[in-house]
Amino acid sequence: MADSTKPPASDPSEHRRAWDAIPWVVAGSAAMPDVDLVMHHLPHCASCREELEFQQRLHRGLRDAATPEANPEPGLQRLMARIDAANTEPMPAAPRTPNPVRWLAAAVVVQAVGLAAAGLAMWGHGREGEFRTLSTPEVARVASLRLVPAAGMDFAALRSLLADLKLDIVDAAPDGSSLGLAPADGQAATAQAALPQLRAHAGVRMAEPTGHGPR
Amino acid sequence: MNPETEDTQDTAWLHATARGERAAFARLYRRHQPRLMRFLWRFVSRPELAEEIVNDTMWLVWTRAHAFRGDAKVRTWITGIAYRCMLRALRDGPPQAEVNASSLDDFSFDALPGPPGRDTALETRDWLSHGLAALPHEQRVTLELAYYLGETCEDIAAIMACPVGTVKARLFHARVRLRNTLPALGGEPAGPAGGESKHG
Repeated sequence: MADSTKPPASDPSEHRRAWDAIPWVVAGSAAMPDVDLVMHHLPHCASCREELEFQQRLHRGLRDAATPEANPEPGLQRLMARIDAANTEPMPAAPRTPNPVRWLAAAVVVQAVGLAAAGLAMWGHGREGEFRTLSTPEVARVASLRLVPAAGMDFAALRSLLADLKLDIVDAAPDGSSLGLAPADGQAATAQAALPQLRAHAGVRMAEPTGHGPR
Repeated sequence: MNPETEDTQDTAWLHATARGERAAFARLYRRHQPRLMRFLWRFVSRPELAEEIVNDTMWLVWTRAHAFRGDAKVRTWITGIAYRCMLRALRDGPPQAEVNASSLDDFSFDALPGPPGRDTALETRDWLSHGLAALPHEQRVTLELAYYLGETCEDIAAIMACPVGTVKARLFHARVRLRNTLPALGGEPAGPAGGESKHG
């Protein structure tokens, strides 16, 4: 059989354009000029006729392998429930189920509120707070653990889990894909003890030590 | 339905969705969910994951309907969102969600009922499953969008966020590779690199 990609000597340009257009003609999505081009070219090009037949078989094979029809109603009901749930929350546009960027943004807000409250408390205790530095554990901490939440994890459940394990969120990846965690008590042992529990939790896709943080 | 009529209807429903009209959104969902499910089932091994991707897609349609600029058909816009959601799921998901030859063999083709009494069709599907599994992901998606969903070259470029030339190149390489791996369909070895380089 001839090499179907090899242009015939008569009109290489037409052959090339026809050969390129064949799949779109077969799929029924070609523009009319391309259809005309292929129809004009086929009678005098055996390799393109062969290619057309091959692509038609391929097209039929793909179409015959069609997957079963799915009833859209159950999925629609689930999505509507998700929309309803989101509407009951303070941010109506936020999804109820995990959207890392959105709930990490919420985490940052919560963390900011917490830091602001801590700052006010320190201010209220007089001059003692003035001697704290950014390296002290209460103000800025380095993440000991890196956590990637699973798809089913919502923010409330995450907060509850981290509170149980005595972990705080101290940073987040710029793309919102992961969280940096530090032990609330500043003890390395707390992070080490929490790691296997995080890994075993269904709402955690991945938890790894960062190699930083308290030792 | 005429594609233009369908797009006009889709556009009206999408604008209504942007105004918060749930009935219009439900119509959009019912129209596009089956098509997206069929497409996604070709690439993910679990039906529930396919539905999750569809619902993530339609959630974005619900929340970002106002962002539709009309540069492409609504159908193309939605398919593009689904494609990106699928890429994210395949990238971030567990191993069983990934595209691989076994999932294609086990689910997309062999496990599906074919036309009754057609041994040749079964044989063809078997060959196809192997041939498609051998394609790089982007070439396979291009071929599926063209042949399975019937998208135009320009729409595939919009869906995959790449130039039209890239779509053509991917389809070209997919065709050459399939001819090398699908002799049962009448293909023949087209020669290794030489044949592909002619059409870049």
